[in-house]
This record gives sequence, C-alpha cells and structure tokens, in this order.
Amino acid sequence: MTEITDAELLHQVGQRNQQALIALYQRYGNLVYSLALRTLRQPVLAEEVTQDVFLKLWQQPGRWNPALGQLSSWLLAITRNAAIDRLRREARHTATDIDLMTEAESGAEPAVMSDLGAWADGQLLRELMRQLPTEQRELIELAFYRGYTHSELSEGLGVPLGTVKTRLRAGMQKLRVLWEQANPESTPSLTHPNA
Amino acid sequence: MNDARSPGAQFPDDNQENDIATHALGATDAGERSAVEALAAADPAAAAELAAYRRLVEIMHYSAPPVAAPPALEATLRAALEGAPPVAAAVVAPLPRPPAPQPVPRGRSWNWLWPAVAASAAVILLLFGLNLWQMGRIATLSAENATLQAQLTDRDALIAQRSAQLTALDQQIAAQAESLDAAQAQAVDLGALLAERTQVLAATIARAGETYDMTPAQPESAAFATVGWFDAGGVGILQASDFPPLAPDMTYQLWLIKDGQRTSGGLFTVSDTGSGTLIFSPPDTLDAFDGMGITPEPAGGSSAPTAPPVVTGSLHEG
Repeated sequence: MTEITDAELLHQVGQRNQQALIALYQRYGNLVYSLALRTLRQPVLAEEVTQDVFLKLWQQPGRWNPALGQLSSWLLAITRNAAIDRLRREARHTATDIDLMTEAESGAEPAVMSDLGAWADGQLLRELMRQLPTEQRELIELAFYRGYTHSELSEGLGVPLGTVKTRLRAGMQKLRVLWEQANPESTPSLTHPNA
Repeated sequence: MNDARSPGAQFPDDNQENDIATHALGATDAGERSAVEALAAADPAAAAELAAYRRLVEIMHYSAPPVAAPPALEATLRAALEGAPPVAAAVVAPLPRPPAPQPVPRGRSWNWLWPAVAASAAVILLLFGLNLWQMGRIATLSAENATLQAQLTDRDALIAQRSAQLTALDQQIAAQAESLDAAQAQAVDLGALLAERTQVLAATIARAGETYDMTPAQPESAAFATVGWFDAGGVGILQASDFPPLAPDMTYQLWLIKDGQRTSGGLFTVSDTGSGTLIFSPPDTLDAFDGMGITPEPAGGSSAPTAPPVVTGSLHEG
C-alpha cells in the first residue's frame, strides 16, 4: 500500500481537510516537538510552538514549495524560528542571561520518527558534535538553538568577538569534516526531497 | 559536501569567507549577513561553500533528541482547528523559499498571526460560553416561571376553596342565628308556658288533700320542695325550687323512707332556674311512709341514695 505523499496531504489541507493536517501532524509532530523542546526546554512552551507551527501550516499551506526541499525540513525551519522567537519573548520577562546549552534530560518518551533518512542523519550529526571541543560545541548550539549572533554571543558570554567568530568557524569546519568522514560516499538525505 | 577542498581553507584571510560557515548557522550580524550574501552571489565557489554548510545546518534541525509529543497535543490541535478562521487555499500564494532553511530570520516571525488566531478563538469561545450561559439562564428562568405559574394556580384553587368554605360557614352562621332566634323565641314561649304550668301546679297542689314541705338539708342552701298528695288517686305531685343545677349525666331522685328503708319515688331534673316537677305514684299511701328526701344520683337513678340529700321532709308531725 502506497503512503500518501506530503504534497498530496498539503493539497488536501488546502481544501480545508482537517484530517489531512492531522495526518501530517501524526507524521511530523514528534520531529517538530523534539526540536521545539530542545530549543525551549519547557514542555508547555514546546507544545504551544508545535501547535502554532501546524496551525500556520493549516492557514497557509501554499507557502511550502516542494521543489525547494522536503516538507519536514521546512517545518523544522519554521519550528526553529518560532521557538527562538518565543524564547526571546520569554527572556524579556525572565531576564534570562545567555547560558550554555546543555542537553537536559527531558524525561519524555523517545519518539518514533518519520522521515527516517533525514532523522538518522541528524542523530549522527548530534553524535559527531559531541566530538567537538566543548567551547566550540556550546557556541554552535547557542547559535543554532538560541539564535544568538556573533555580537550577542560575545556580549552575553563576555568573550571577545574575534574569539567567538574563530571558535564558531572552527567548530563548523571541524563538524563538516567529521560529517564527510562519516559519509564519504553519501550526500545528505535532505538533498533528495521525497515529495 | 563533495567539495574536494578542505572546508574553509580556501578563504583563510578574508572576513566574508570566514563568515560563510557561521552565516549558514545564522550567527552573523546584519552587516556580516549582507556581505556574505553578496560574496555568494558574486563567487560560485563561495556560493557552493555556503550551500554545503547550509545542508549541514539543515541536518542539524533533525539532531534534537527524539521525544514523543504529548498525546493530548493532537486533541488540542484538533480543537484549535475547529476554532481556526477559514482561509481559502487559492488566496495563499506560494512562498518563494531558498533551497535550504534560512538562518534565523529574526524579523520574519510567524507569530504575528498567532495573537490574531488566539484572540479570535478567545472571542469565539467567549461568545459561545456567553451563549451557553444565556441559554442556561433562559432555561432556568423558564423553569422558575413554570414553577411560579403552578404555584399561582394552586394558590388560586386554594383561595377558591377557602372562599367556598367561608360562604358555607356564613350560611351555617346565618342558619344558626335563625335557629338561635327561633330557640330564643321558643325559650320565651317555654318560659311563659313554664310559668303558666307552675301556677297551674301550685294551684293543683293547693287543692291536694295533704301537702308536705321539704327543707334544705345542706347549710346555706335555698333549695325547697313541696309535695301535694291526692289520696283518691294515690298520686303525689312534687314541685322543686332553687335546686342546684345538675351535670348532664346526673338526675335528682325522690326517696320515700319507712322504717329506715329508702324506696325510690321517681326521677326528675330541674331547669336552669332550679325548678322541677315530679308526679309519682308510690306503692302505698304517702302517710304510710315516715319521711322523704331528694338526692342527686347518676342518670338512670340508683337503688339506694349515694349522696347527701338536698332537701328532706317528715310525713308525720311531731
């Protein structure tokens, strides 16, 4: 039995088929929630962002262009942006200073993920990031999950701007090398959208 | 990723080239972003380098530890879909997107829609709740109105019942008043008749062959009785005056005494004024007895006196 594609489900969402959106949520909800939780580190906020992402998909299904990438990749990009925005709004109220990104134990149930190829790539990358020097890995995580720029990292951590840029660049270059060593023949799965 | 050159090694001394990797990560500031984008647009090698790092960052999106979304979240999403404003798919234009996810676009948050959605949902929920409350209130008021109507109906019926009872009572009072008037008239008639009969009785006793008086037997008593004896018929007539009133279950009993033996002479009652009459026929002539006495006895009489006499009298002088 052939599984209905993301593009077909999105088409049905465009025709106001709620069940189609629920099918997409069942397909990618865990991915979205996992990224939101990793970024926000608060389940309640992660749930809100996850719901927000799928409501956006419901309201504007035509904004995803299948020719430009996988739906899951687009959803995760939206999730990251929404989570960072939410994080910045929350930080205004809590006056949270920039802090180091530690991968806290969530205590939640591990999820079965759709889009196994891309997800497996991501989990491999996470393992590779652990091989980076701590000061490089932490800067990469702060930039990726918190959305901090060079200057924000420099100011927040009290580290010279040049040091921040050097460590970030070195970390990304090393991560790329590690990735290519782990996948000498492969191209990242994301370059072959299944839609 | 298939670039044969070492990552970053091809731009060792140039700031724009050095920022390519961190630009893909979204860490460049505004000035750095525009410089890197300009370089990528002008230099295919820089563009390829940027694309490679963007693919790496795109994979990074999948690197979060896998966690299952709470089961209730799907139900929450379904509920939110029910309240979401309709948007025609044809109106939504495709969004021109880059091949890979962009670095964090801080000025392009999607969250601007959420307050409107939340506000709309809140208003809908508020109106829905208000409508439910009003419907519940109307139902409650209807029930209360029905109860009050039923109570008014019951009260009207009770008032009608009470009015009928009052009318019946008025009629009974009027009838009793008429009866009372008639009784009073009858009493007047009876009083006159009694007075007349008393006079007749006194005249009759006066014509008797013998008369005997019976005087009070108790101190400070005004009771008095006179007995007229008609020897020809063997009949005696007793007229009592100023006797104490009796309870309804009591009567006066005349005793004829001979050799200490009491023989009942008969029973009589007295009027409210203490007057009474007894016509009696003893088993022997009256002068065969020694004396007489009258005692109060239970209704129906007694076989022998049970109470002290009211009056007593002797039937033989001396």
